[in-house]
Amino acid sequence: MKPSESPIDLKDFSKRAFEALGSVVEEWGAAGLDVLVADDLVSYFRGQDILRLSFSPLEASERDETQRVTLGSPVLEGLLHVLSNKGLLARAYLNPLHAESRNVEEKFARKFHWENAKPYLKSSSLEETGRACFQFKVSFLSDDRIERLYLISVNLTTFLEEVRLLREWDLLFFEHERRYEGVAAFCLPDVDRVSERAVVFLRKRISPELENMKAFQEKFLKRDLLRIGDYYHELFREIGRKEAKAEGDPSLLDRVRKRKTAVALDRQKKIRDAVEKYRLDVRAEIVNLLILYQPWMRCVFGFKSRSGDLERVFYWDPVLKDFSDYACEQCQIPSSTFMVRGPKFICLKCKEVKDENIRMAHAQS
Amino acid sequence: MKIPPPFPPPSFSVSPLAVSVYSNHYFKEVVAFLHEEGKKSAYYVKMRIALEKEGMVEEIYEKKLIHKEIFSPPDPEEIVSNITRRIKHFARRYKVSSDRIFFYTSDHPGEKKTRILNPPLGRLDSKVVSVIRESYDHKIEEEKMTHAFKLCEEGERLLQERRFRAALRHFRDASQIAPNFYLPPLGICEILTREEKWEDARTHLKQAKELFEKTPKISGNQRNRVNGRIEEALLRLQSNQEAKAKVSTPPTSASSSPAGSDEPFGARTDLPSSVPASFAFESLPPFLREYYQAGKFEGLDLHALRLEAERLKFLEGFDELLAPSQARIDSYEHQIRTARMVLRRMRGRALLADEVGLGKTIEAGLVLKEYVMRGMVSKVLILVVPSLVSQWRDEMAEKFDLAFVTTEEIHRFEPSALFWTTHPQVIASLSLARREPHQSSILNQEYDLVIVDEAHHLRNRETIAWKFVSQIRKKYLLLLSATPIQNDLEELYNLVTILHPGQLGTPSQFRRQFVERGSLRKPKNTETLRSLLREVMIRNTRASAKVPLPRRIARTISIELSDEERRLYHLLSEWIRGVHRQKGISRMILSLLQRQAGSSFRAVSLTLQKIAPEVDSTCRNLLFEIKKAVACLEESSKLLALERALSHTREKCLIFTEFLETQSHLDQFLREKGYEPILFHGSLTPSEKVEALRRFQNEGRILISTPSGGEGTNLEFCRTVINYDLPWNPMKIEQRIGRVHRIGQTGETLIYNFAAKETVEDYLLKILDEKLNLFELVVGEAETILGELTEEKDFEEILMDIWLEAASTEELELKIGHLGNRIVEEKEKYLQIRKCDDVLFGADYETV
Repeated sequence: MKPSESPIDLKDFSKRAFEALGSVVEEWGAAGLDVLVADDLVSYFRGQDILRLSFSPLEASERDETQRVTLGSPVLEGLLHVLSNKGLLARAYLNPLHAESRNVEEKFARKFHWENAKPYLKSSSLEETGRACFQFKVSFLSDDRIERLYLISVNLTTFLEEVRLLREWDLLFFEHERRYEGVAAFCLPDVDRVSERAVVFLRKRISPELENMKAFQEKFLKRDLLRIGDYYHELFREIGRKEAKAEGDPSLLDRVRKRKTAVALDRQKKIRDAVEKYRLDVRAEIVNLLILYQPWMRCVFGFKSRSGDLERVFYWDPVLKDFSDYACEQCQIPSSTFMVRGPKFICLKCKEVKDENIRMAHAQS
Repeated sequence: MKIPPPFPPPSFSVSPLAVSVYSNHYFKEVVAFLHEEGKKSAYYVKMRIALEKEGMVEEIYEKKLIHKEIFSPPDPEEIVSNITRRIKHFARRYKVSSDRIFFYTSDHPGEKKTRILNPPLGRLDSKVVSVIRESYDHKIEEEKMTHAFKLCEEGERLLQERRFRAALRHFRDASQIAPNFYLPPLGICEILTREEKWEDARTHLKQAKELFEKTPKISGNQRNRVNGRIEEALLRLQSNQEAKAKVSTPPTSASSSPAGSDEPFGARTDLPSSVPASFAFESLPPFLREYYQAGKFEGLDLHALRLEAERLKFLEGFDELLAPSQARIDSYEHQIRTARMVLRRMRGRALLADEVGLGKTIEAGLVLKEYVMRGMVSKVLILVVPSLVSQWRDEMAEKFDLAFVTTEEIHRFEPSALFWTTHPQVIASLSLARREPHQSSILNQEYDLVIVDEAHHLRNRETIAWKFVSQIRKKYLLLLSATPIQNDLEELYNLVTILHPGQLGTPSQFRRQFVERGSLRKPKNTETLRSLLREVMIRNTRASAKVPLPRRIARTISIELSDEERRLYHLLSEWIRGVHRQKGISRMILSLLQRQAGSSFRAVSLTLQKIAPEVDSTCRNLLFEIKKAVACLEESSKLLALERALSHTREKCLIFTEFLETQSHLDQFLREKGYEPILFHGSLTPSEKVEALRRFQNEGRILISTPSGGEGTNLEFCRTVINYDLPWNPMKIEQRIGRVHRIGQTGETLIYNFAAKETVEDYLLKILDEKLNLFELVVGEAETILGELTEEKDFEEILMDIWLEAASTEELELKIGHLGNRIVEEKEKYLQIRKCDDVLFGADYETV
């Protein structure tokens, strides 16, 4: 379900699609399919309930009623249209072999470091969590249009992006049923809140590509603007010379000055048009959403520090066999090294900034 | 062979032996070869030995002395030793003493020779060496200068294209090769000025000036030109530096510079540097929130399939076009390549300048359709000549499934500005659009794409039309014209400037750089001009598109009307003239009647019946007489002529007539004669039309078609066209012929034109055939030639005016003659344009 880079085999795709939609499919020849179309889909295929499809030009020529399927052909367009109304929301389960872990503190110490606190495990329990895996289609529109698919996964407990999950996506085994017991069912949070977070992560993900595209467009924009700039600059100089010659003739001078103003306005228009032409608009839309359920360990850790004793919750993920990320309580960026400052756990970068501010405040006073 | 004696004549007695050593010419080749790394070079020295005896010089020996391939420059000393060896050999042979041997150097045999010293042969070597070395060095210098000049030319071209780094490299290389050449530092100064490196720029400018002053042998004109350029470079440097300084200085007064002031305007410092970008997230898909809240999940298989379906719909740039598969056209490879080039390389702003008949409209339609399908364009304006508004609308609908409204509906909107804001896709005539109040309404809109057909109407930038189109706010722009240059090169400049202001510089820069002095049409620096044009213009020719069009052969069947027919025709014509003067019936009906008279009297009769109740009593009597005579008419001369023509051929024939009544008359007549014609007209349903064409292709021999068969249907399996009557608009005749005479037709197309003598059609045919050569032209050329003539009024109206207003046959013939002469003038202009096109674009203008 991760967007694959490999080309799609149309025959295979069509077969799976028709079958998933309740139609009966039989193969014939090397590149042919006979389809008995499900009743509710007939209208998408011009009222035909039986389709004889060919995916190769050689097969198509043999019989008159065979329809050749290619990109843009009516049958494929019909199938794509049907699918655009299906598969919007799905769920799956990740059933780990062992949901709980024994040496949690050790694993915790391997992942996280505290500069001025000592963590200890206070309690742990099994819970269910969910992940919202959004497939976004992003269209980059300028004087060209390019489309891409992005998979963004948001943990529905921590609301952090699950980057590691995506890296291991191909190794995950999705099941239709839940095989773990003894945990309360996870309650899905508000979808708008979740999608908002996903969009934030999406923007961050596409940022490098966007910058590349912007740089690419800016190259052309710069060239066009330079051309326009030079052109009007020269034009203006020529007008300036005429203006100088027209000093003694008020009506001619007036005409030349009017022309100068008109050229100035025209220049502004051309610049605006050029900028608009290369403008980059990014449009994102959700293609579909997969909710992944799994059990994980909720671990409450205590921290002894000079500020006093603090307590925080961390999650051990038995599927990824790692602790879930924890975000700095100042900048909200996941980190692995923290320090306690007041009631907050902050990352080292935030610590440096804070130190600098303190130094500057001292210096000013 | 007599050779003139050397100049100046020697004061002592002439030696019987004179040696000319021609070194300069051949050293040039040596130097040129050596510029190519790894390639072998060759050199040779030609020696001519002449005997001078009693005032006569006789050449006795000429030979390439040395000719070998080397990898390094030849050593002059080696050359000389070879020469002197031979000279000594000849001296012994002709028994000449060494003090009688003279050496000359010259660039060419026969040119003025310079006698060098003629010492005894023994001491020759060092003298000759120094001469040869001097000429060799001189040639090397010349060669270096030539090479440096070429580098500078290339640098200039790159400067024009705004490729500054590459240009700088070229100028620097040129400067290294020819340190005394003034052009490289001048070019470098211009680039450094743009980069705001003022001091360096000044240094190079000073250097250029000094080198130029030391350069010998410069003509007055060239000196003025170069001085002018140096002066300009200095002014530019100063003004840019001042502008930059002023912009960096905070303003001292509250008022900002007005648009008309010198300061920020014209400077290059207020240009934006970044591309605006926006991000928008479409709201959640319909039902997702509902399903999510209800916990309504679908299977993983559908989930995955939906994703794959999205991938199949992907748009990955313009590598793969979507439009061709959706358009209902027989597109040609050159059209698809053109569309792709406009979309990818030219980014939606281009001048499509294909030769006539290659389908510029299709190309523009493909680009438009592609943009629409990708959601990149929604607001479109197409500007055309008045006579083509409907044609464009129909083509866009029929071929590209794009619905446009035209300005024919503008009267329904009050105020008319609403029309421009309401409809996103409009086709308008340029002449209407540029007038108020429409102009203001259009200029207030923002268009995604503007297409201008027959864009040569924008050839003059002082016209309202040019200014109007230039001011329209648009993202993409397509200009279509088969003749971008009509009178002079500046017209091309004006078109390109609408697309990309500054692409060809300012007008004066353009004239200076690209137009030969004293000629409006002769280009110079053609390569540079072409390379700049290639960025904005595509021109396919029939040759490059590999689209051969078959020949067409036309025959006029001139029909002698019977006395009764002639009397009727003239009676009707006079009646029409009379009614026209009295303004009794609408001009449209009168024109219809006159045209029907040239087709068949049956068509006339039916129309007369319809209008009879509307005419006044004095005319009604005449009308009844005509009707009665028509009813009594036994045989039609035209029909008999048709029968004769058909009996002389076994080919499939496509017979065109303008009128349904004539069609039915022809059908009846031909059936009586044993033929089985198939009818094709606008009232047939689409499937009936398809069936009719199928029958004609497979079984039938004769298809009789009204104008609806002249549009869109392809009948290239047939090659004989019979124009039983003639539309008065040459473009409509072209359309008819174009159904068979088109790309895909393999054989010659035969066209038979029926016209009765002394009728309007007879005069029309004479003009079209003799003056315009309509039937020999390539499809589309007639439209181009008559374009100017029919800018305000179409051809039908012009012809009808002449017919109605002529008081006598003599006057009629005179006016028709004038019309014919105008057509000849337009045709001459067109041929001149084509000639100019060949010079500029030629066979090697790279297209797609």
